[in-house]
Amino acid sequence: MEDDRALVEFCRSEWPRLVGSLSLDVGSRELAEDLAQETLARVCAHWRRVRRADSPSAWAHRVAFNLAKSHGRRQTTWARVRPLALDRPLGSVDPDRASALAVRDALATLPKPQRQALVLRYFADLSVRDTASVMRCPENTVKTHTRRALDALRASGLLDDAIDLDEPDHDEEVG
Amino acid sequence: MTTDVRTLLHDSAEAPRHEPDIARALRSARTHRRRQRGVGGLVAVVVIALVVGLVARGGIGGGDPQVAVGLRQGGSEIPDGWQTLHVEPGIEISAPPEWATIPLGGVSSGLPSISIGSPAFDAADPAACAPAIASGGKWLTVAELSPETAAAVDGRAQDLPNAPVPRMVDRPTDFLGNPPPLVTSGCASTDTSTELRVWLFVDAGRYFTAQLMTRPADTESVMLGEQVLNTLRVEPLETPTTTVPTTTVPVTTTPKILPPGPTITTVPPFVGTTDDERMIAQMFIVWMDDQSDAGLDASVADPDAVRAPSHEGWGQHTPEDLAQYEGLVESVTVVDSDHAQVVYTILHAGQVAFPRRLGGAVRVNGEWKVTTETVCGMLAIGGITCPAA
Repeated sequence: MEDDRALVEFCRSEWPRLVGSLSLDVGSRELAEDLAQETLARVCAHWRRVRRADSPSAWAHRVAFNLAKSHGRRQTTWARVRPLALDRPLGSVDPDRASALAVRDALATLPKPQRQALVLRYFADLSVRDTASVMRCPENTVKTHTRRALDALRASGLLDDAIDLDEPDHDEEVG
Repeated sequence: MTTDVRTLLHDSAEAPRHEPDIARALRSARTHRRRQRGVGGLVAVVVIALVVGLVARGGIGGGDPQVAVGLRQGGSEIPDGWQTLHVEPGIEISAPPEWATIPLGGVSSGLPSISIGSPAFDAADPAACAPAIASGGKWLTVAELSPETAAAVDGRAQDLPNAPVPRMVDRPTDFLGNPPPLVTSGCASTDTSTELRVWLFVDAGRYFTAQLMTRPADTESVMLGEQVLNTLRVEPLETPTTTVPTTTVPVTTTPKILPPGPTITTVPPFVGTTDDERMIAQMFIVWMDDQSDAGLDASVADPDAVRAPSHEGWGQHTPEDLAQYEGLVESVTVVDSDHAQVVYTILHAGQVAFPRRLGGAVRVNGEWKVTTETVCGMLAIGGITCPAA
């Protein structure tokens, strides 16, 4: 019973993070919600293993990003959604919305590893180690992808130049 | 504009419009588990039937391994969270995340082989074998055999009393519950604390041996090893030989395309075992993923020599299209202290666009860089010629 409660609690707490991370990756809230729901089904199916994982959140994100990749719907969906979202005169949307669309547009043009590294570290708040585990690459590669993604956001004017690109790793921040 | 990237992302991410449908997730999970139990029950029946049949015929190992009993690729679905390992050329196998590759070395001169398992151990220390297995470890080695070696081992009697004779058979439809042609003791021929299962099989016209080491009668580990074997994917070779160019190709030659590999997108990124390998792989990723002057400056040996043609190449794509390209390093072979060969694949929108190309890395002022020839070889595909040096 306690196990069930823990599962429900995990699903509830992880849901917004999964939808948010996936929306930044695939560019569509609808698809992000579909994929996040499927991810939770996998979490439920493997809960005994998930709860013992070093980072259950990293496990869920790994499944979520694998599902996004498997569905192969990112390009078609984003291609369908983006003209509707971005070709709309900016005057017709509120400034916050326009800014969000600009950020998502910038993210969509990043190479996938850079986008995923950025989202996993700074939206999902995973450590460098957990991000490396999700992306199946060395930690140094995660740092490189992150730094390059930040460079790109700076270059596109979305991020202040004043940001410290050599900011400490997330591990160090929380540690 | 903001200085806080977390705020920027949180303000830009979509919030869910509704709560998660946990009841639906649990229903899906229950359905999944029922299906798994059904498979497990059927497997158990098959195993019991096999054991009863084998006992009736005089013991394990005496059966005819050519009889493929069991489910059609029952374990071929890769469980969530498993890692997929790629072995050149054209071999894939997936394993639980805690399994590691074990450097046992090549089994048959130059042909692909991989040893995986948990816990990993120091292959240089033979004494590590038995204790690790005795503590519940399981190791699986899959190695390709040359046709000559396959013919030599096929049906050859072992140097063990009463050992069954292994025969080369077609790959079993399902490894789960399908008895291997040879079951013997593991770490050493006299060691009874470990058990070794050996399969010889033909898949996609290529010959393989698979060896699974476990504790004696450790059914759970055996079944897990067989499930891992079920994920083995082998691509047929276009040529009868399986050699991958290694040190025979000078690094400074124009990059060549290796024999076609599988059109897959799940090849795990290469993880180097040395700092040199990691740096080389990273430089290639930067070159392939970062299509900018900064990327060239950071990754290429002579960036100015390839700058103009690279711009010409990037100009052939829209920025959105260019962003769909990403690179994957499949292997790094350090040839000498200043040269290395790299097998890399370029994906477009997640699909293999330029598979298994051979490139070079060179050490410049102590740092590994992608060779100019590699960059120019890639650009040549787009009809762009680098200016003569």
